[in-house]
Amino acid sequence: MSSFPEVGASRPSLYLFGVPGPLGGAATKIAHLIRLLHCDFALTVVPPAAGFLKEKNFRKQVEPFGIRGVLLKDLPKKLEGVGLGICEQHFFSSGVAREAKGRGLKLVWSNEMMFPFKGEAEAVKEGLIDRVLFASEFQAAAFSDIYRNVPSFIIGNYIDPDDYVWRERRNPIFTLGRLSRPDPIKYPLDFPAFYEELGLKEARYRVMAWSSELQKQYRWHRFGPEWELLPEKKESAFKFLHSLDVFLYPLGHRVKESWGRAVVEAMLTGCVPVVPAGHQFHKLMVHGESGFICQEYREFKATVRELYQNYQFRMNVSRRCSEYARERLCNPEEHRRLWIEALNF
Amino acid sequence: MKSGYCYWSVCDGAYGAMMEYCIRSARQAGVFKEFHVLTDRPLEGCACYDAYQFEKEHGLFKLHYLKVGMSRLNFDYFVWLDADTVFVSNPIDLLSPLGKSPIHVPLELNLWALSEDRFWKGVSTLRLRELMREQGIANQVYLCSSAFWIVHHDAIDTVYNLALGFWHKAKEAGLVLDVAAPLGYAMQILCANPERHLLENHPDLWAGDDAGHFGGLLPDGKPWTWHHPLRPDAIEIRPALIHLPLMKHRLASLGNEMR
Repeated sequence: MSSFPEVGASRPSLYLFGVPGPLGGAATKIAHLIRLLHCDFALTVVPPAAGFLKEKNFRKQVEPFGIRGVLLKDLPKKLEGVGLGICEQHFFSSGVAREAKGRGLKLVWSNEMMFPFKGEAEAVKEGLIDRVLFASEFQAAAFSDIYRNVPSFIIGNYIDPDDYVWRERRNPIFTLGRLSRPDPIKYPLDFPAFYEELGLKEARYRVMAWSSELQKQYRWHRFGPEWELLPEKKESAFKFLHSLDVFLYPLGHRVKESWGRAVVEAMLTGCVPVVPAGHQFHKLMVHGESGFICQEYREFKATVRELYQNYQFRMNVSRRCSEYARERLCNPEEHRRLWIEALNF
Repeated sequence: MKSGYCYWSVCDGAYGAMMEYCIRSARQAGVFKEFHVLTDRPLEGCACYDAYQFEKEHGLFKLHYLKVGMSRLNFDYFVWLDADTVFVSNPIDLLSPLGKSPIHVPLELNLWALSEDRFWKGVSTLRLRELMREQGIANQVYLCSSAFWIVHHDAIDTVYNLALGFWHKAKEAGLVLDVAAPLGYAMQILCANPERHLLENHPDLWAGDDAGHFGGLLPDGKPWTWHHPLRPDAIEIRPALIHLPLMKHRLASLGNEMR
């Protein structure tokens, strides 16, 4: 194993395939990785289309770090270093992965989802991927068939804690909500009933991201004025999470969450997570101290009611979950060390 | 869309006569909601639709007719009644047990409370419990009947898909289930809070007399003690609707006498 390099030492090349941005899980992850690794690697960001290079949000994520955005076609025919693809939907099907490999890059891939992208399994068979990164053991297990013969690395997820500062909530009305992809399987089929059956006297429910598909899934329910159903990226995650007292996150019975980026973002801001058992949330929080992992509905109900009724209790947990996320889950030095190891060949 | 609800059922042969008696008992109790019945002959007191011949095995016809029949009617909610049901009074606020859920099936027995395996309708209750858990029921797992249930019009497809999906999963696992278990599964996926739907929390609405409390006598509207054959405890209730599965012949005779 190579030694851990000092910041500013001779930097290997890293080509990051994807689009950094302030909104959305993958875009945010890439943006935060740039901040984390720009001193350790000579970074080049390779977006999938020319249009991104002119976008304000793209440039804001790369230019302050002296990093270039370049299309693959404009890069030299022979490259050295590592190519890192992160949750780029068309990375394989567009031929980018094959092209990058053909130019001499070692290819590292991080999927982020619990399902393979189009062409991913074929790319593995073709030998394009030199190393695969997983957010958790749980995700690694889900991909074990595809990646049986590919070296892997559990990398976790880095979220820049400075983007999600803690803030004391003073909502005039107790506010519950959630943030996730607008994928119907991420939502339990009883979602609106789950919130409303808590029996809170006065509460507001905020959801992002909402979609017409979700609306259709719950067409049996009349969403009253206490609901605010926001489309994807309507607000920054930071602003949205600051508006919530509690991050109540029931999940669909057909889905298994491997990590939970939005849960950690919520924790950082001090939004208390109340999440279901049976996923990987025990790796993100200590039940009863830095969040709540509930086995069944009556536990959800009792927990939320206590948070609703006891402001001081809520604030204490809010501080603790933020501190826990900051120190244990989003420690920059710890993540930097892991990434350097994962990208070292 | 008409607001409110209707009662509905599927009845052929002797069940038609039972349904006629059920409707009569409803009218006598002051119930004037519409009844919509899929049947093989015209029945008194209800809107009738052709049911032709249908497969009764496992009771899945209840779900099939819900999807192909009731989804075409303009009501918010559909209240299924087995034909061997009688009204002893007019149910008060029949939709309130739904809470915020799109479905209500009275939950009768907590399978987590069982300390040893018992068979119910030919199926191991512990295997059923395990299967429900595997298929995503995170709460306590409950057993129910399929004699009385309420579904929102816009949840019909979801209920149907969940229930049939569960029935097929069970079959793959070697369990051939009566419709009650898949219906209960759909209910428990959709209800958020199962405790709201426990039979004992609605003692004035509905109960089934599987234990034979009434013997051969018709219920008279007085309070009575209900117990599930697999439950050690008993509950004092006074429901408006009573399912009498052990009195089918008597109810059919009463229905025939009306003609």
